Amino acid sequence: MKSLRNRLSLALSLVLLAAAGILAFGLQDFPRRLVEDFVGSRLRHDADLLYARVLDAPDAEAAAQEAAGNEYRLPLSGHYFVIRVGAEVIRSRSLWDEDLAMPADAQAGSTRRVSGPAGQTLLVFAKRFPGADAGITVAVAEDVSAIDDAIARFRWRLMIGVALALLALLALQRGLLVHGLAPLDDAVATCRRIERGEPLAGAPGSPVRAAPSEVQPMLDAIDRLARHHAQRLGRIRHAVGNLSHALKTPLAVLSQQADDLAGRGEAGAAASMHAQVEAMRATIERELRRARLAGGSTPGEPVEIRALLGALADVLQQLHRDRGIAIERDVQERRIALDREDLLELFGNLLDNACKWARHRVRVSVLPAGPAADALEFSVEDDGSGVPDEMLAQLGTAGMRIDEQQPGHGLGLAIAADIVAQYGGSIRYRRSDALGGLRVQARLPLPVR
Amino acid sequence: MRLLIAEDDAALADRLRTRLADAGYAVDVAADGVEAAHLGSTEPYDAVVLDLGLPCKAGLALLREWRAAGNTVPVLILTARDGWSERVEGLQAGADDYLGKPFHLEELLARVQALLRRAAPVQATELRAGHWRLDEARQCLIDADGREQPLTGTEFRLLRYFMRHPDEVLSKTRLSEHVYDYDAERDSNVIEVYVRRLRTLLGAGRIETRRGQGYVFIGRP
Repeated sequence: MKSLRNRLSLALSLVLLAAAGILAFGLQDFPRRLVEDFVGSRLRHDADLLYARVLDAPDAEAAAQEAAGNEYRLPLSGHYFVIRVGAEVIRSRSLWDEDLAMPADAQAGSTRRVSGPAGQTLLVFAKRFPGADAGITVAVAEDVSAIDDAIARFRWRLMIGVALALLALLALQRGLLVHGLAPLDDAVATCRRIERGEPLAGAPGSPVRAAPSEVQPMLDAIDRLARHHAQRLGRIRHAVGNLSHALKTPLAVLSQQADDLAGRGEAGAAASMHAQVEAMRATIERELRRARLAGGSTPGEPVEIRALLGALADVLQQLHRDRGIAIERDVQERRIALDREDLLELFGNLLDNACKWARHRVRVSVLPAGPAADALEFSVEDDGSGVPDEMLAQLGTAGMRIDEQQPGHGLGLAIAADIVAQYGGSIRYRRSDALGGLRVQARLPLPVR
Repeated sequence: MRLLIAEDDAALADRLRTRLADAGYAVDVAADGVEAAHLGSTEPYDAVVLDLGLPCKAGLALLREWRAAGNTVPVLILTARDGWSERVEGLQAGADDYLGKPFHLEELLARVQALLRRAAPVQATELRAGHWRLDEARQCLIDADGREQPLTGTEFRLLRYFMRHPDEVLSKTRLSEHVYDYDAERDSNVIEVYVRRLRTLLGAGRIETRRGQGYVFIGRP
């Protein structure tokens, strides 16, 4: 699964790196050019001055030496000039007896770097001015090695500064992304709460704070959808209940009329009527119950399984009280995000079936959450006579009845199997080692938390 | 023993009334929730068969009202809504048993009898007085040698009520309330006639008269 956070982070990092690179490169060249422009313009100025003095002076040498400032007189001061008037070459005194390499292409005036005396790095401006004979060529130089050192130091500082800023920006963007996308994580958590049927932000008693205005409408919409779904399930269940009621009362009357027929000696007709009524009743029962199931995908209030089984056991012990059945419960407190009615139906049918067959004891065990956190695993067993091995495979199939003598309609196991199938779980039947009767073992996967 | 049937389907209610009356019970029928609520809280029934889908007032609300008012009459819920969540709800609301529709009349009868037996002071399945045994299915007395002594309907009902409530002072009003249904002509002097008849059958010492209070059925064998 692609992570929005990582993708954004990568793209932003690349942009930042590119910007830092361009900045570093640009700033590297910039001070050098600035200095060269500045020094160059001063050199040009000096060259113009020298040319002006030399041009019409009777003694070009003296005029040049006088026009130049003090720095041109101090030996190896770093400021030098060379003037070529025809064959005569005038050098600044500061040159001592070193020579200054005269650039060849000084026609239009150009600035370049050359190495000068005493290991100095000189910036030389040379220009050929119009004048007598071949014209006057003036070259003025200044030592820039100190400035170069300063620029180099500045560059180092710049690189370190940019690198540090880049690191800080990368950290900042990651932080901003994590913080900025955090509402999405909250939204996912809220969706899970909706799935479990817990109250949303804003509702009284909700521990969740409201999501940002971009996300909250989505959450509200999902919440409305979930509520709508739950309401629809409620309406369907109600309608199914009404339908069931409307169909079963006439069936009860028909069944009693069959009894009357039998009372008048028409046993054959009564038996066939009873068979038809029973078939209709079984079909209605099974299909309507199936329609009522919520199934695994429906949100609902989480159910506390221990309390649910406690209530159910009380009710079953009351229903079977004449036979003195004890229902042992081996279950810990645990909240389960499955539909309450489905769970009641599942455990009700399994326990009722067990109570019908048991002599004295029924045991229901639910595995603790630890090893089976992603599923509800449980077993229901009784101390009855059990089911022969060759019949075990047929248990839970529609209309299967092992013993016609037992009261009830023998649909319990089939309904339980339907519910387990609806939730994508599994159910197994075998002999109970502990109690000797039937042991029904089932596993229901739970929605992801 | 007097029963209330709260069932809105007339055909089914009729059959229930006929069968239960045959079995020796005084039966009243209420066709809606309001009537059932009224009868249940004013008449001393020994058991109620309650349909949950009653018009005017829901069966469960009715049941909760009775229980809140301290009415402990045994209630058998009879309903087509027999999902386990409804069963749990019904029994937690105070019902004593639950039967889903459609059902066999004989199963209903057996359940009602079990309810009455559990609610009465004497819960034995066989009712005995001296060498007599009361056969509830055939509504007659049988002595140790297996000889039958037939009983009329009212005799049977009265004797059964006496035998379920031995050593208790039972007023003539109470006896007639539990022996006759709502529409019957009630004349408590008729009770005297039946008591006299039972005394000749079981021996004069079996039923004692408490002047101004009523009768006591002596439970010792």
